[in-house]
This record gives sequence, structure tokens and C-alpha cells, in this order.
Amino acid sequence: MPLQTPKKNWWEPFNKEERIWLWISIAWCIIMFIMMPLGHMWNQNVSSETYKTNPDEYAQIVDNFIKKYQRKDAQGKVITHNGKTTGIPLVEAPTKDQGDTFLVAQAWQFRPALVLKKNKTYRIHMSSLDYQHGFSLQPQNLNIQILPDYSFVITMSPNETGKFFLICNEYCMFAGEKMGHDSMVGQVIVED
Amino acid sequence: MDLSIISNQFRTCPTTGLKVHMPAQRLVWINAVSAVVFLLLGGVLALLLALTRWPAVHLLPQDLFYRFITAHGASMLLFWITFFEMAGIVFAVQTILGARYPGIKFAWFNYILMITGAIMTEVVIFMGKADVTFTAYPPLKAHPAFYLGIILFAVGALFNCFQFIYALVVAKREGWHQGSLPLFVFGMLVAVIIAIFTLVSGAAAFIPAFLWSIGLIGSVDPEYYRITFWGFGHSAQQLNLAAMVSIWYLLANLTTGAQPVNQRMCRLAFVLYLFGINLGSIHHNLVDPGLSSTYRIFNTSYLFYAATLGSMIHAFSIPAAVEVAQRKKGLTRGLFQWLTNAPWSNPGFSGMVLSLIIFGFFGGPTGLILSVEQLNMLSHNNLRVPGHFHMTVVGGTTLAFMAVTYYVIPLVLQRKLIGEKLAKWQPYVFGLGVLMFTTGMHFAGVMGAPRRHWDVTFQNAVIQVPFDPAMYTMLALVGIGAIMAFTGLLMYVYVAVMSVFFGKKTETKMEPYMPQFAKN
Repeated sequence: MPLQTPKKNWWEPFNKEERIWLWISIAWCIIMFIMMPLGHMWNQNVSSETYKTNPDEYAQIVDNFIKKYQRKDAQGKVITHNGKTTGIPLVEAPTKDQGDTFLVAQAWQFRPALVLKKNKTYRIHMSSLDYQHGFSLQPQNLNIQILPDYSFVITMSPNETGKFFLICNEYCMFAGEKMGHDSMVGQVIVED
Repeated sequence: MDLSIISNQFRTCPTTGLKVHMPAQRLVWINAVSAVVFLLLGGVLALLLALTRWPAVHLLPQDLFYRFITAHGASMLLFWITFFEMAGIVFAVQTILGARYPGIKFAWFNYILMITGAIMTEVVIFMGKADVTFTAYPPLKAHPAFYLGIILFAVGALFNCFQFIYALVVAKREGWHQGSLPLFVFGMLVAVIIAIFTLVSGAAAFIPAFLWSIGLIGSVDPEYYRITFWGFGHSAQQLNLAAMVSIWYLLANLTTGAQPVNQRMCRLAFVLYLFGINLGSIHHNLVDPGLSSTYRIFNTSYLFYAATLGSMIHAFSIPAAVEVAQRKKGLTRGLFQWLTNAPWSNPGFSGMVLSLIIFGFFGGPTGLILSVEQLNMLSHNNLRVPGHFHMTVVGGTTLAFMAVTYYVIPLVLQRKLIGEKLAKWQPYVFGLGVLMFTTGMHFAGVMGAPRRHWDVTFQNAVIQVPFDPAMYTMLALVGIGAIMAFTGLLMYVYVAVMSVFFGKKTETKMEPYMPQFAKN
């Protein structure tokens, strides 16, 4: 009885049903355990490449990166994601062989808007300048944590063209009525 | 202390024949009542939050949404569950073990620490000085009183844990009890041991954050905080799990007379919790920078899923115990007569079964899926995560605690239940409501809805995000399910509060009781 002291020698052998259930459970636990290491046979894993940084240094790197790879029109004017001067600058990201790509999350925007080419591979660094943020690529629903002081490197090769959205899914404060965590959106464009 | 005074402090329970140490009864009362107050507060906030997440209603403004989400997390995960567990550990010693509870005054001191901390935290949150959500990840900074309140609360809880262990030592030494602990007390002991390392990990997270908030240290490393916080936040759910499973055994026994078929198997499962669970908190950090895959896999799989094996064993042994007990009563026709003739209108039984089903079939498996390294990328921080933990903590733990209340009030607090008819329906209304809103959350998350997000329609954003329209249907299901679950919660609070304060008192039969196994 769960309420009473058990009789003296409660260390009894398992009966047949209990043994069968235990072995089923153990087999199931082992199957679950090998799933994650097995997953590393396929190329869909979380990156573990990280560098230590700090917000000042990272802001500098991203600004230089944006200046270098910014998409410009024929007159040399900067193109933004919505065509307005206040928009997020579009950047033609270098592929893995040409260099690294840098993305920054800062309350409350992702900068820059990345333009990627289909079936090319990119190394994308991400870090934050203030709070913790979440990189959530929609509609793929791919989610990665972004922290200040850490530069997290994701290697990815887009295999679909179109416009994709980044939403922040880690709470990062708010200010007033119109601004805050829930208005933090970025963009990724994949072209042929 | 003088044994002759203590021996006159016992009453005999007329239903179960258990000896109850009366001075500790007020402690059970105050902790349980405080728990229910926080449950009601958290429940009201939960309804408001769910109605905000339902885009067609979108009830709260932005600032109140984030403020209430902070208060909801703290009220429910910390205050409601912990206060109830504190009542549970005192109950385990003074009633189930039939031993004296030593240091009643110290226990009151712990209670005062805890309630001061809890009120402090709530006040700071509602003043708008700590809109950092329950997790309070730095560099989000809250008012120092927020961290201090949580630390005070945790210190009180930690003292209570040590006192519980001391009470067990006293029970042996003075001869109140001899031999192995009863299974329920054993389960609570496992919960208490998990609680101790949980709270130590909490201290490692909250003390630096507190020092940082008052300006004594310059910064808190965000990843250090995340790891230590989840060493606290996740392990806390495992101690809830151990307490909940103990309560399942208790309820199975009280409602059907079920007895563990094999003590060795049940206890082995609890020990697996103890050794397997303290590792498994890195599944919150699977897509964080700074951790290697080896470490993620090693930690997240709980070292070969030892804790999962424990849960699998309980999933077998509790229904088996009920079946054996029912068959002994002559309900042997066919495979399922024992089940169809079970006391389904007894809220203690239906609450236990629903809690077992929601936790075991929905909450547990969704959690295992989320904590696979590769799949976590598809679910980290979206509504799938709250979907999972509301199945475990609300549909599992809270429902089990509710179900046991219907026994605690007449047997421990000695009041007749008011509204027994309401109580009969309560587990069904609450359970189905929880199942509905968690399913909504889960599938909304699958379609990309982020958690802790005021507005998935992105009215104020520079870019509009086109979500699958089915997501809005799922978010509506969250709202409707939450209304139903809240109705169930109100039914529970009505029965509990009315019975505790206005229920007819049952007679106290005081009987002198001496330690049965005293050595001299």
C-alpha cells in the first residue's frame, strides 16, 4: 500500500508482464537515444560553431559588411527592402568561398535584409547588440537563439526561391504602443 | 521535547485509521490555501492572456500582455505548485508516516519567508518594474526586488526541504516509524532531493542576476544564465513530476484500494528520476550558441533517457495496480470491466486518470519530440513549447493536485466538501479545456506562431508576415479551450475555498499516540 510501510523484503523479482514491459521500454529508450547521434549522418543539424564577440565590435563588423555588399541601383543609390530610405538595406551576401555573412538582431529589427542565391552555401554569423533575440525563419519555421556577446555561425544552402521572413521569437521588451518585440521582423530573399 | 506532551498531540483519522500530528495541520492548511490563492490569480491572468493570443479578440494592450505573462509564469510555476508541494511534504510526515513534525515554529518562519518573497515578486511585477517575463534572461533587467523576492521564496522552500529530511530522521530516531518508507513518502523524498539541487541551480542563476541588478557586478553572461536558469526551471518540473506520480499512487489507493504490485519496480522508477533527470535541462539550450553537439546529446538524452524509463514504468505500474485492485473486487468480466466499472464519478479517480492520460500520452511524448536536437530547430520558442508544458504542468501536475484536494479537505483539514456535484464534473471540464487549448497551442506552433508574442498579425511591423490561415483557427482554439479550462478552475476554487472556510467541521478524535518502535 502506498500509505503503509511495505513488508520487510519488498525486493521481489519482476513477474513476466513486468519483464516484458521493462524490455520494451528499454528498447524504446535506446532507439530514442540513438536518434540524435544518427541524425548527424544527415546534414540537418544545429551548428555548434560559435565565436566570442561584444556588441561594439559586432556592430562595427556588420556596418562594414553592409557597406561592402550593399545592393545599389544604376545611380549608385542604396536599395532597401521596401524601396524607402528608412527601410532595411538589402545586401547581396557573399557565398561561403567568398566570405562570411553577418546578421545582427537589435531591438527591434534584423539588419541587413539578406539576398541569397539558390543552391549556394552561406556562412551566416548572428549576434545581438542588446537583448537576447530569436531567429525564426518563416514559413520554414526554423528557429535559432541569438545572444549578445556570442557570434553563432549557421551554414545554410537555400533550395527554394522566394521571400522569407524573420520574426523574433525571444521576448525583447517593448516601448510605447507601437514598438516592441512583436514588431521585430526581418527579411531573407532567395533568388535564382 | 517532552514525549508526554507530544503523544497527546495526535488524532486518529476515522476513515483511514492514520495517526495525524495536529500541530502541523495548520501548516498544511496555510500552505494549501496560499497555493490556491496563487492558482486563482494565475488562472485569471491565463484567461486574459489566452484571449489576447486569440487574434479575433486581442483583449489586452501590449504592456499589460507582457506584464501579465510575467506574473502568470511566476504565480503558477513558482508559487502555486511550490506552496502545494510544501503542504504535501508536511502532510507526508504528519499523516502518512504518522510521525511528529519537528520544528513547527521553524516551518512557520519558512512560510513567512516564502510568502514575503512571493508577494514582493508579484507587487514588483504588477508595478511594471519587471516586464522581463518569468525567465528574465539578462540583459533584460528587472527591479532588484524581483530577484530578491524569488530568492527569499526559494530559500524558504529550501529550508522546508531540509526540515522534511530532518523530520524523517527524527521519525526513525524516536521510533515513530520503522522499516522502509511508505511509497508515497518515498516519492516525496525523491521530489525533495530533486528540489534541493534545483534550488541550488536557481541560486546560481538568480544571485548573480540580483547582484547585477543592484550594480555590484558589471554583467551576467547570457548563456551562463540560460544554463543555470534551466537547471532550475526544468528540474523544478521534474520535482513536480515526482510529487505528481506520488499523488497518483495515493489517489489510486484512496479511490480504488490499489496497491503497488511490485514495490521494487515502483521505487526503481523513482530512483531513475533522481539520477536521470538532473542532467536533462540542456534541451532548453539546443539551438543556443556555445555548446557542442556531444554535450547537447549527452545531456538532453538524460543519459540514455533514464527518466523516461522511470515514467514508462509508472505508466505500467499504476494502471496495473488499479486493475489488480478492481479484479479483486470481482470485476473480472472481459478485459475491461475493471475499467468500465471504475469510480468515474469520483473526482479523485477521474482527476487522476485524466492527469495520467494528459501527461503520459500528450505532455510527455511532445516533450521528447521537442528535445531532439534536430527537431528542436523546428520548435524552439514557438507556441509548441507552451503547448507541451501546459499539457504536463497544467493537465498533469495541476489536475493531480486538484484531484487530491478533494481528499485532503475532508481527511486532513477535517471539513465536509461543499459542492460535491460540482466537484464530480470539475476534472472533466478542466481536463478537456486544457487538452483543447494545448492542442491549439501545439499546432499553432507547428505553423510558426511564436510564444510570448502579443500580436502575430504584425500590425506595427515594417514587414507583414503571411502565416497559414489555419494558424488563426488554432489560436481561436486556444482561446476557447482556455475559457473552458478557466471554468473548470473556478469550479475547483469554489469547492476548495467554500469547503475550507465554510464546510462542516468533522469531529477531532484526539488519542494519545506513542512512538511504536521506540528503542528503550
